[in-house]
Amino acid sequence: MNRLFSLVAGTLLALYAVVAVASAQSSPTIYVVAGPGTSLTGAEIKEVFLGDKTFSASTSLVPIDNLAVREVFLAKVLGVNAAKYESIWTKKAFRDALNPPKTLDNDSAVLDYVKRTVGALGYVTTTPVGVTVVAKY
Amino acid sequence: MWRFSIMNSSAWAAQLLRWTAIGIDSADRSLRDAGLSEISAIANYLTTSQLSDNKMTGPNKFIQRSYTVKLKKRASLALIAGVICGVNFFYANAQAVAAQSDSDRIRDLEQKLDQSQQIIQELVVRLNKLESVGQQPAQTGASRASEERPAQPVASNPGITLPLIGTPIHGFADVGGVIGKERGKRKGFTVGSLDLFMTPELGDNVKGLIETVFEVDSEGSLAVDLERLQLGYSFGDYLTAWMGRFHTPFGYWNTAFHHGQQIQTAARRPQFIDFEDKGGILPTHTVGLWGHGGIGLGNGRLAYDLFFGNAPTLDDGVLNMNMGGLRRFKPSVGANIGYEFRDSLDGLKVGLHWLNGEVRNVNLDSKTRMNAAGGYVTYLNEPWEVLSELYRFDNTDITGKSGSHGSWALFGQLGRSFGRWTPYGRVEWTSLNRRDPYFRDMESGVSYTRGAFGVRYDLTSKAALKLEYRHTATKDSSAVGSPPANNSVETQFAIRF
Repeated sequence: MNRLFSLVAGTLLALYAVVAVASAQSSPTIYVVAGPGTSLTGAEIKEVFLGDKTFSASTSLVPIDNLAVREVFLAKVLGVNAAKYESIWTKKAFRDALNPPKTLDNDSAVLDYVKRTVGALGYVTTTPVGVTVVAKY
Repeated sequence: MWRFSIMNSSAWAAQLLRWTAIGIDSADRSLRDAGLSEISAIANYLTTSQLSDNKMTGPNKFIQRSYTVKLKKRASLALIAGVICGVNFFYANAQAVAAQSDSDRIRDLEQKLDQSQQIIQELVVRLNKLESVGQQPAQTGASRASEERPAQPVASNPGITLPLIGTPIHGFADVGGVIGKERGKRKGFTVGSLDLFMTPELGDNVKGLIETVFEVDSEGSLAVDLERLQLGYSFGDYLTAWMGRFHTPFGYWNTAFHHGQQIQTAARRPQFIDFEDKGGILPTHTVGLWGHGGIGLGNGRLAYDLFFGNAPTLDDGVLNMNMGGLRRFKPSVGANIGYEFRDSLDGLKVGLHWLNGEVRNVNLDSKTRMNAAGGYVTYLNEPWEVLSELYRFDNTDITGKSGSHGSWALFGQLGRSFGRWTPYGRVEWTSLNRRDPYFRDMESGVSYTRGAFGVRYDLTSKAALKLEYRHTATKDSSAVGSPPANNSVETQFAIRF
């Protein structure tokens, strides 16, 4: 009985350690950045990336997906997975002739594009410099 | 029977308990009251009490042994709990310390990166100045003017993954098979349709949608249909104006799914909103002008559609949208307004629709003012899908022979996803007044009820298998070619790309 309890206690300890390590690893911080001529609130970010908002005043918005952290952004900000995201944009294209967001490979490409494009809206994980930070997640 | 090695192991257990107590005490004082005092008391008792049987004498020996056994059990349990808690807090502290050190390091790295970026930007500015100074004497007016234009996004940026030329083509396709006695439907394996659509980028505000459908008709012939050709301009989220051929914006289903078999759960559309040449009683396509948009309202969004186009005609019992215009122009008009909820009711949309037009029968001397109004409620929030639409027809015989007539049509569909599986069920009901020339002259203007249920299996996010059973009962047995009731089973393999 003593050995059995020791075994159970040891197993519980090992499992708890694994869970603690997994929970200690947090997802990266997401900075949503906007280009010149773009005025948005944090609440409007989801609408833009789901195709419900395509203009900021008279400026046509250009959402950009960052392939390097898209999965994290979709989960953290939009609350969808990649398959659902693609399905949403398929329906938007089919009904409203909206094209899905352009994709860029990494933070530096996204920042470079956002800085130079009127109406651009993207997301990065490195602390952005020289662009407007709309929201931080 | 508990056995606890006496003296040496009890002393070891006592010491471990003390260490655990110290760990609890240092890590989380709020839990000190929960177990610290008891653990310490047990530890003290174990080290000071006489546990050897040889030292116990007299009538208290039995009582002492019983109490000792119980105490040993409590000590063992407390030991296990204490070790777990102690390791927990030790590990949490270790993690906190590690996380704190990691966050400090990250902060330092970020600061250094910021500083480096600032230095790089300053160097770039200085370099540009030096280059402009060095090149200035050799520049002409034209080249100087071109360098003063703002920098455009570089199309050759290696990060861009979209094609730089051409237009992406998307589409849907489906194949399947039918068994049963459904009116107008053949049996056996079938090729459904191939739907190709393009959304060319024509500039910030200019929009276009071109859709072509290749489908096999009931006779087995291939038919090609320019399903949509609409060009438009977006003034803002509040208004996009289109011109051309578009899906008539009534209800929800017609504009949301149309020929997109893969994006709709069921294998078939409700019969009464099927396409004009497949038994539908409404003009599912219109050629004309269409405006739609939306504005934020409260926590949701108010969306609307307005259209104005060629009125349909009845040609050999089938509605014709008159894509090439009319000899005598008659308009059809309509509106659709709906509210899309957000937050706790995200996915719920309720709306009203209305369409009106003068429909002439080109074969017979009859004209009808078709006037349909109704509403719809949809709820699309995984895992649930609810679709329902209601139509009330108040048509008027313009030739004056039979007056006004009322008819009804509605359907309701419910589906729920269980992982890749989505079972669903649908009920359709129409009560169409056969004295109304609009329905009398229409091949499919027959009242019916239908119950359908099926299941959809998502092979992938882009491919689905469906199996659907339908029982259809036609109310008007006088209608030619309409069996009173029939059953059919259909299977469908649908994809999107």
